[in-house]
Amino acid sequence: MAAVKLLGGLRNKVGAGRLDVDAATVRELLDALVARGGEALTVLFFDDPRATPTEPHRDLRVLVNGRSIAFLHGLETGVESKDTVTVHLSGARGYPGG
Amino acid sequence: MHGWTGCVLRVDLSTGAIGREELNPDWARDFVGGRGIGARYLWQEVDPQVDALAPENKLIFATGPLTGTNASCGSRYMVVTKGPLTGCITTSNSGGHWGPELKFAGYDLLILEGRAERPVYLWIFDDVVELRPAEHLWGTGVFDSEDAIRRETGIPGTSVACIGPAGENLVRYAAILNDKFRAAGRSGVGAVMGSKNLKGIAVRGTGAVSVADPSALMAAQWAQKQVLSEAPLTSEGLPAYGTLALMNVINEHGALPTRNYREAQFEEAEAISGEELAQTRLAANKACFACTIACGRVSRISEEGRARYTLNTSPRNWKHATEGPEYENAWSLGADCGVADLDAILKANTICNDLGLDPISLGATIAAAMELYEGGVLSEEQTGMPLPFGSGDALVALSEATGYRRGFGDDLAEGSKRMGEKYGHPEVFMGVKGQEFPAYDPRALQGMGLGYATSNRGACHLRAYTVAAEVVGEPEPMDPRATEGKAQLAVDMQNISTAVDAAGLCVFLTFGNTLSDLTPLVAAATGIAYDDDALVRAGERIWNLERLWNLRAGIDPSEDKLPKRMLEDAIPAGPARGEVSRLAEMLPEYYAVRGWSPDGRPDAAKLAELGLG
Ligand code: SF4
Repeated sequence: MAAVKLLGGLRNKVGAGRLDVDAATVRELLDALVARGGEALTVLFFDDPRATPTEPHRDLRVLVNGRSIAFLHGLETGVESKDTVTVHLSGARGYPGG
Repeated sequence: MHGWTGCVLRVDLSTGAIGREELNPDWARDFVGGRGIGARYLWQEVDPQVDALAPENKLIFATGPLTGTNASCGSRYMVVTKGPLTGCITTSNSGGHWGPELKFAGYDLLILEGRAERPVYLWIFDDVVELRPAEHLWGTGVFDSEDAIRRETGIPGTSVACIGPAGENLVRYAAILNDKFRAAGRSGVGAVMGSKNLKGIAVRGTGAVSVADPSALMAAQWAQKQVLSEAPLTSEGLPAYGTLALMNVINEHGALPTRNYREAQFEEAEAISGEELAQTRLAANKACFACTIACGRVSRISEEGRARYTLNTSPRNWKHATEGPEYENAWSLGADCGVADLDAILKANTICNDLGLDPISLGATIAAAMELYEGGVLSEEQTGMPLPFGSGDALVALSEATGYRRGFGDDLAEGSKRMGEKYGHPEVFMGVKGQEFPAYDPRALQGMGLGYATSNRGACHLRAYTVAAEVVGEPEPMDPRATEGKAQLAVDMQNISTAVDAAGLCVFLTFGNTLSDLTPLVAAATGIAYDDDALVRAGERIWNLERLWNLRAGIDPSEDKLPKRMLEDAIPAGPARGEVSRLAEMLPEYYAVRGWSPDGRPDAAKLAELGLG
């Protein structure tokens, strides 16, 4: 079971701040969160919830052991039972900080 | 003129002379306003070698063409002067309502020179400008001083910017506070004000900002606000959690400096996070003038905390409420000191507001002292109390002692660089050019190290917020551990954020808006056909002028450096374990991107290109 930490507004949406999730990839882990928090989460998690997702939503940030999946293997990043996975929404636009 | 009022108010505190003069229109066009035009006047009028606390230094309050308009976040004024903490040009800005009131009173800039013989405050009510005695307020905190000055003016809606005892006592990182909780915080602008015996500036204006094309401005601000209302961070994240939302995020990246930058993860980050504040202590969020984001926090100390800490906010201890903390303050007073007590942080932050201290430099200086105490360099006899990392009581006691320069607070008032040198341990200073780092470890976020090292006002997160790309992932994700591309990123961010500062806007709006959303606002307000390139070029021009000022002040490019700890001591644990800053890989490229010589100096061709030759 990977230890999952949810940050910010996602805690209310999923109904927990910390939980253990059994998943082999980040995609499976997010699916497990959807199963717990409700289908509405798919809109927040995946770019096109109708299709098989290949990318996380542009506002979703996932870290595996503190490393963004943008620099790992995206949704296919492997997850092991000793891992800590952090999930939060960003939602910035523009050119932050200038 | 449109956008600008076209009028500079000049007050000679030595003679009491008050004069008005026309704003230089060429400088207004080329340097836009705020930080830019303030720097241009300082360049013209102040010898960079001046002692920052001498009467010859000037204190400039500068608004931008969008200050006081209905553009979202058009609340800003910039204080420009020579900073006593750094010796650099310093540009420190604040929101609230003070800047708009100065514009409504009819002034773009207020230039203060000389030194009053006795404490005074300045009262500006449109054309009525007078110096009033302030001896009865000297020694009084910001909260009571503001109330007293406002009462004395008798005019509702008056906004007051003032210093507390820290500014009077020349604490090197004293701040100027307006509207009680909004601060021009960094580099000691409050000490410069204190050195001039100027307690406060009260301003009320009954005019309005004349704009060149009201219809175009209405359309542009509507479009700008639409974008802000659609971006999740500016419409939901910042209102709900403020900038404190970053505490857990940065900690999870292993980039949260802890216990004076000896570690990069705080095991108790959750206890001082935005989520914790929102759940247990947040009363409301709050906005500056015309802001549609409202990131400000109105917080209450917890019931348990009330037994230990009383807040002297005004009206006296109103429902135990105060404002803040922002992310930077909660970090410096919290994780950097190893303090996980949110009530102690709220109390210390409120002391900073009332006494007029920069919480970033204060917390970082206390953290450096804690390191010396734990290392056996400082004794309890010297510090006046046990000073281990994690002591909220010591944090609170020393915050107050520093504002009044009492006991060991007198050493802390000098900042961590001078304090460390005094006790033979300069290595405890975590900062650049005399100014303490903010809340991002440059070993974990390579771009921030470059941003800190090259900032014109000493270490600063607001000048090149590479966190945006390295953590937030906008405008596109960049690997925080990589150095490739960071030089260009830092230069772009420095130029754009400088343009935003010059326009009179709050830089937080760039979490939603791009420069292209903002350019039409500046053009509509001023009637000058600025495009994105012109504003970026203005930002570059201002940046180069600040650099020139620093060079003339004797700040050598070799000062574009980071402490040895950042370059040689790897992060001991967490996601960024093993990382050090690789500044040397980025700095030469940075100079090249800037078009400077390899030793970091703008050459004649670059200056001519920018109209600075
Ligand atoms: S975003 Fe925050 S700091 Fe900026 S103007 Fe709005 S309330 Fe003030």
